[in-house]
Amino acid sequence: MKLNNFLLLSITFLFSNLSISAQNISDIEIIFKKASHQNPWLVKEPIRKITPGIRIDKNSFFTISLPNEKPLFAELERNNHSNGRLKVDRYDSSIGFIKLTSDEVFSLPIVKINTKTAAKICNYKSYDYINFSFSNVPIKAYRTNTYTDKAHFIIKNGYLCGFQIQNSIIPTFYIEKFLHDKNHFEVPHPGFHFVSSLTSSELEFYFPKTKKGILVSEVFPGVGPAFQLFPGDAIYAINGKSLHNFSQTEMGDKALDLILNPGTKLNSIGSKISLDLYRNGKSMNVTYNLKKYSEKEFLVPETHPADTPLYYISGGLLFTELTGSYLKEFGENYRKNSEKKLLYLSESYFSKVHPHRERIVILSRVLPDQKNLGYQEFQDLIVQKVNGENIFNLKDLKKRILSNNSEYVSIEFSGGKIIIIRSDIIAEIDRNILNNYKLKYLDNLGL
Amino acid sequence: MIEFFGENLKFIHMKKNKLLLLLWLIFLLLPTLIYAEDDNPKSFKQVFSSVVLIKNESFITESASKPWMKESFTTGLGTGLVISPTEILTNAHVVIDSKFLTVRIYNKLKPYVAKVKYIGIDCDLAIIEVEDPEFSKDTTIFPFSDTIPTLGSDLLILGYPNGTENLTVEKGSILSFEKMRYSFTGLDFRSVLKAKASIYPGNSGGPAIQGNKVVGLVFQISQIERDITYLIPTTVINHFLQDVKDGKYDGFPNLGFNFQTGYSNSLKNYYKIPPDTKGILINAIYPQSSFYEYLREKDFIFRIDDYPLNNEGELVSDKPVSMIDYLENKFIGDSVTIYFYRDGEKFKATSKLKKTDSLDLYRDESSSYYVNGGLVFQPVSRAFFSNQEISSLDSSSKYHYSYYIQDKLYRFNDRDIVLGYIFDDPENIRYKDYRLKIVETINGYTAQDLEDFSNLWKKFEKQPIRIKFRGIDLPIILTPGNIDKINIRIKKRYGVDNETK
Repeated sequence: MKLNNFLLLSITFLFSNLSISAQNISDIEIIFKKASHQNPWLVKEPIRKITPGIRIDKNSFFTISLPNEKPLFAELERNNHSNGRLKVDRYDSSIGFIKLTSDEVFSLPIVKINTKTAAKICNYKSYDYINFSFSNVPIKAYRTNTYTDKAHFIIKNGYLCGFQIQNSIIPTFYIEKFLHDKNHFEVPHPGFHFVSSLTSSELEFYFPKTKKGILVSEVFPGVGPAFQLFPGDAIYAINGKSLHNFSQTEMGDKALDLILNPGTKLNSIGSKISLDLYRNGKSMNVTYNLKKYSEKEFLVPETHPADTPLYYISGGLLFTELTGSYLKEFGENYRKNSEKKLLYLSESYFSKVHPHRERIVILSRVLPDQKNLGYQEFQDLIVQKVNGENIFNLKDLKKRILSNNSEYVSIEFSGGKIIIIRSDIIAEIDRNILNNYKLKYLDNLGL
Repeated sequence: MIEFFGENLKFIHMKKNKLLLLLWLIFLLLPTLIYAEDDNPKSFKQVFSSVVLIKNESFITESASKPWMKESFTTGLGTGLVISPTEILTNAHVVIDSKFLTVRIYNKLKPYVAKVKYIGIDCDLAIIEVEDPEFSKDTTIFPFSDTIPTLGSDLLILGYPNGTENLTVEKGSILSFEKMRYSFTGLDFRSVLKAKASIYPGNSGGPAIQGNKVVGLVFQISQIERDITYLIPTTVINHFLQDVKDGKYDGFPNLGFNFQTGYSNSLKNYYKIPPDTKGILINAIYPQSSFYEYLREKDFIFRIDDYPLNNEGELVSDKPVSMIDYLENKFIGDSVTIYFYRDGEKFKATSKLKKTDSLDLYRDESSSYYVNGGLVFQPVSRAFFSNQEISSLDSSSKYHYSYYIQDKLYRFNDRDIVLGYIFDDPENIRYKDYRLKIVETINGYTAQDLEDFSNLWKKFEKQPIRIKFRGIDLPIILTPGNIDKINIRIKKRYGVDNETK
């Protein structure tokens, strides 16, 4: 133990000598709201996550934490003790950047954030676009030879050089934009996926002999130009700049540069992008505006775009909308344990659109009641039709059940299973469920 | 005595819950145990001389999931039970890929050449036949018990633990008589005897004996619980033996439809079924099944032959039996009458039970394949899935296998085709994520089966080949010139010809 302490001290000492001062950095614990998708009415203990943070002005801090969550508040940690409450001021859900503020003034040194100065003193050159596990957008990151296990900020002469993860550094300009561009602080997403290392067959098939470029493989609805750009479109120029002279290995990074980041300044959400492409041998142009990454229009989003997963209980039947996180709640072996069809849909069709479905509505399970006998073993079934009508989303399901004027409600599932309950019995079961299961509400749809 | 020549790949590759059977004899302990349970025992010699060692040798075997890969020498070992002067009963999985079979009688060195006579994939049983008349001189026929052993009673299991040369007689006890999935097909859900006995892969199997009668055949062990062995009971064995009496094996009849219970009164009212009627509601009917032409989805079955149903789908009599058991105890060709409600009216339909061919994909023993451009295409079948590690499998191929009937995927084609393997080549390496995906179209056409797929490829070989997969937007593109180049490189590097099997 003694040896360890000694080592730790000497490392700190070494760092401060190199002016990568560890004293500029403090641990920040962020508290996120936690929701269960399989039991959406439960109040769950919040998730707590500790990450390094820096003070950026008199009473603000910056840190990088979990994406796609709902941060509630944060605590500044010092020597493992809470040292002050921080409020969440700004959060980019697609990359997990958080700006925090406090009414108090802390003594921690302020780290200066200036892209131009950083470019001069930090001296980073080669880069890649990386899809970090915590990020939904590709990030232009510098490469460094020094590997780190613990992600940390790199600070030189009081200026921020970036945030290092393993051997990649997220450059200062991402953080500067997030902190200083009040209206466009979020990182844009290209809106589509593409293939840049094409085979000779693909080049021959998609491009004329004189052209080279990238091939669109997937367009994200709600993020990219979903109904103008299509998989198989062969892009040969972006914003008027030809891709022809880029080598196969740099093609992907250069294409992303042209879309997201010409130079060291990140394009803002709303920036106009123009793509010149070949489709079925014909040259055409597609223009669109950059957007923030969002799964709101995906058929099977990873997490539910609303704060908490939606649910609706009727006649003891618990309905929800399928998401990736619903399946992941089956545990570490969820790929083995969750229902094969739901897994297939979430893995193969998550970013697709469906002609008459916004979401896949499922019967998660049945809360048993004397009156729903015969259906209690039903679980993880896809709702096809209610009273003969297709179901668009969970709200639509609720509307159809509530507005039902006939004696019975019939709910058909894929695979041929069917539930038929008399309308007056539904109301009876609902009363029992509220009592027996001590629930306050039968849904969180707000209809 | 037992020699493993080269690599015993089969032995290693066997799933842990599939047991190779291997039987030798010892005298220790056995006398007292047998005397203890039977007033009129046969001599030990008779017990042992009804059980033979089966050696299944293949010089070049083909892996079911990677049939283009030639494996080296393989020896499989198993046990058999003599059931007639020339016939031996064993597990189907012991003799399944047999190229050359020999059997040895207890205490004799002479190997007798044997041939597979009947094989019942759906019940993991097989009969092999020895032609040499000398064989019957040294063997005895040991009878089957006509009753299900009592729970808790002791039994003896004869076998060879882990392929060692010494026979072990394991004393076990019956824990339960239950229904279980036979892991050989993973589809068939049949009766088993569950016994407490420590049995190891390579050893277990062989007959389980109580008194002087065979009560079952060991065929699988539990991968989760320790010392749990499963036996095929005599009810299943007798059905198999009865079935082959006409010279061919037809298999167990299958119910041929999925159903939900009939408890809900709302459901009965809605479908105009009298509220006191009990029965089940049909959800989906398998194509080519026994009642395919007569029944429809949402028919409500309330009676089968002379027996009314309850809401769980059991035939009500002194001893309630499930619909599935009732039909499976019958034989292909038997007549069965089903009574049901449709649109508020009563109907009855009589049909002869027939084989449900649409379930063949779950029982296919060997796989065909088509290689071109370094891409190996295979039909989706049991053979393909049997050796794949389930967790690594792509969710789309798992779905297409498991839901082929329930989601009526058979409407699109006769058999789904999967990209089973890719021989790496610079021109196709980009497509490694396409492995285990299901083919949707080739040059815009849906292939009915693998043969159709290869014909379509041939038809379009002068044009770029475009193969679209389910769940992936971008197709695989291979231009004629590049296909030729890949094929030359693949042949050179891997020794693989462009071929169909």
